[in-house]
Amino acid sequence: MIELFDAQAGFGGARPGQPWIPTVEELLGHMERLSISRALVRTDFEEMDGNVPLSNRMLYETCATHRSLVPCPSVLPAACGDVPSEQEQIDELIRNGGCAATARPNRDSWSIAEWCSGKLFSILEERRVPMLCRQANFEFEAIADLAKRYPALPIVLFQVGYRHQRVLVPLMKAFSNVYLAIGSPYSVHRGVESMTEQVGAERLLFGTGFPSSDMMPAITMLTYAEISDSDRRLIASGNLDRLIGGIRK
Amino acid sequence: MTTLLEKGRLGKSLAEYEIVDMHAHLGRWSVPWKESSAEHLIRAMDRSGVKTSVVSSLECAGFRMEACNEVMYQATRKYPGRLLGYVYVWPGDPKAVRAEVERRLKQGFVGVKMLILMGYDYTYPGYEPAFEIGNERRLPVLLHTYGGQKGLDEIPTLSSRYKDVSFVLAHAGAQKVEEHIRVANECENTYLELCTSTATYRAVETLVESVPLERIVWGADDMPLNMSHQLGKVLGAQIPEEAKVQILSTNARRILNQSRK
Repeated sequence: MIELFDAQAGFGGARPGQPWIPTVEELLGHMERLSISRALVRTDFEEMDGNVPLSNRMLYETCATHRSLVPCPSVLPAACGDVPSEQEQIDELIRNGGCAATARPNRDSWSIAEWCSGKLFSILEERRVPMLCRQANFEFEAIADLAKRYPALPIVLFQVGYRHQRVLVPLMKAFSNVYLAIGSPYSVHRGVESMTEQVGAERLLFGTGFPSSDMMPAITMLTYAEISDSDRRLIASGNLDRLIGGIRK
Repeated sequence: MTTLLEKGRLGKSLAEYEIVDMHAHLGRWSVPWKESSAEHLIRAMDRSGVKTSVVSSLECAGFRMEACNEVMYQATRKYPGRLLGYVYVWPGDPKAVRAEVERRLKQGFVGVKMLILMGYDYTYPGYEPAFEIGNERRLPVLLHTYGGQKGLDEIPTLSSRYKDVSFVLAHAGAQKVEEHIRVANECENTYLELCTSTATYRAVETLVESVPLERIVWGADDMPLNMSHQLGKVLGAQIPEEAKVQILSTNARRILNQSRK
């Protein structure tokens, strides 16, 4: 059975008017049921997650007690002094076993412009920390801008809809440091096959989309994909392991 | 015995279950591919072993009604038993609708497809001939009914007017799942079809808990969506094994088999 490392999962967040708060126990239960060995986890849902330092601390504490979970905390530009400096945030991430960072400029009300967040991106790039970007937080043009400005920064797009292929393919062809997590809602007709052919399997990361989505659809999209077994292993876990291995600690 | 979940996890064939996809498309749209769409869809079906897909035009171009349906006809001739056709109707001219539906049913089409996104309510008079024929022939009529969009509220009216139509309500569980549950419980001749790119968490379990099991069918909306992805929500659902088979195969076969020739 192919090993799965979920690059697109989370727990502990909330949505307005929705009583359900997805718990780590629910996530772990589904991971065990579906034989997902590890997950890179964020605070999700993010809609009501307004206290990044508190959320990150809770994320670190939870991941410390569950070896299958790898923290992917949120990071922020620190110009206003309300959060630790960019350097301190990344040091804390590394110290707590974090293997990626989440950037949420729309959610957290900041700009990707150099004068606002250049220092943050520069440190992430210098340390080769993969940066997860939910598509709703970024215009594709902004992703291209970041990929060009920080060519050694691995940028992982996730929660990408099925109608974006005409933009996604040229974006990923143009910038080799842009990666795609294939979790829901990326339900694209032969999408895994098409992206493997056009940009290469080494640029795709398995992800599920939990808690917004059921976890199994992303699994069957990968297990039934018409690709080689070696490419399947790369997507399932190899690529994320490689990116994590590249972090300069 | 290997369960459906295990087969999906391992990527094993599901051919023994004779799965029927009640919502598939051929044609071109915003998701690009290079080869013929019929061959593309068959390849997607073969990966997991889906036996049959019922297809309609993808192109959101109902105004080219005859041309769109001709693509389906040629594909169903090329892949008999694998691809079945829904007649896609554009309600601008009721006489043309009646003629097109009658003509295509003679060619072997098995149902009718309507899309609210064309800009006409399902109660628009131009659709009436299609519903009337569907009622006479006890056909499935596939309707785009995404939660939160127009279309779903008209179903009770249509359901009571055309009691022998099997109304297949697409995208149940995508969002506002309670709306589909309400309509399904109010209208006995409705069937909830599950396709959605979002694979909304526990939507399948919620529907199974809330409506009669025989009223839930599976569809992939491939193309443009991914058939194997859409299978996963049923294979991985926390429902009995028998319920999965009923959703993936039995219920759809019953709907298709009850049509009058």
